[in-house]
Amino acid sequence: MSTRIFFSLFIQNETDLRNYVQMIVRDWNATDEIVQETAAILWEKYADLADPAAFRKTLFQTAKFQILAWRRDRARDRLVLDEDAIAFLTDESIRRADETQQTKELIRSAMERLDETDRNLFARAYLTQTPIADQAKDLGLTPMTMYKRLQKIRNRLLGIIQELLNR
Amino acid sequence: MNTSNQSNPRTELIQKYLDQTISSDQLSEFQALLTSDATFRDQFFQFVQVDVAVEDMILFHNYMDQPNEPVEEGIPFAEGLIPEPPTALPSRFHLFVSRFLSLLGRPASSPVR
Repeated sequence: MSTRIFFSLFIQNETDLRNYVQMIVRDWNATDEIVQETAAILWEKYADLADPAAFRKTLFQTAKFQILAWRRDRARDRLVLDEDAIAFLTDESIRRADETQQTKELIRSAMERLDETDRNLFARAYLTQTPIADQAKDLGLTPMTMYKRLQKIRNRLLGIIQELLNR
Repeated sequence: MNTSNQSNPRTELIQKYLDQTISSDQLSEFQALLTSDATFRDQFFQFVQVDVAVEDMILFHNYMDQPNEPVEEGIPFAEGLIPEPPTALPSRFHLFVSRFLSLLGRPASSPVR
């Protein structure tokens, strides 16, 4: 597998992985170390994993072993979860991460069904701090026209998502 | 991290766990709830999640800039009324989508924060 694919898959899962590690160790420095070590081990041993679901599962399972190693060192000086609870949280985190990816895929599909002009207008309206009236002016529209177009785009997206959910 | 609703004993338990001020007995109770109570579990996961709206905003920007790049995509959503999810699909999945749908139903004059 190319470095690019590996890091793309890793970045896709990094937030969920960090949340998972942090919820158990509750120490951002330790979380950083565990995440970095997990990435290094994965690259060393499982660089051929290209299937996103298999990659995610292996990533979390690898992190679990790093957490257990951390736990062995720290169990004396702080209250930590027992191994069964850690295993349970690992499985639960993998399941939730799978769902997150599924959701993102659905939203991406919905956005891709919009035409480019609408997608750009939607992004501009919702992702910038520029007031709608100023955006309308830049586009040579009246604010009312802009509001109406955004409403139309939202209705279209709503329909697309409901259609995708009902498949 | 959500720190609201401090008066709720379960929320307090989660907060103590995260703050590492939890006692040994409380940790046992915490673990038991975590593995046996789906509502408590959802509550816990909500506490430890980063700000998904902010994260998705960044990802969406990436998508708009480079739609053919293999990056994660998402779009921001606003808090709103969340309809009951159909039981056939995972609840978190529907929660996320429902929030997104609630955004779509908002007036155009109140874009995402």
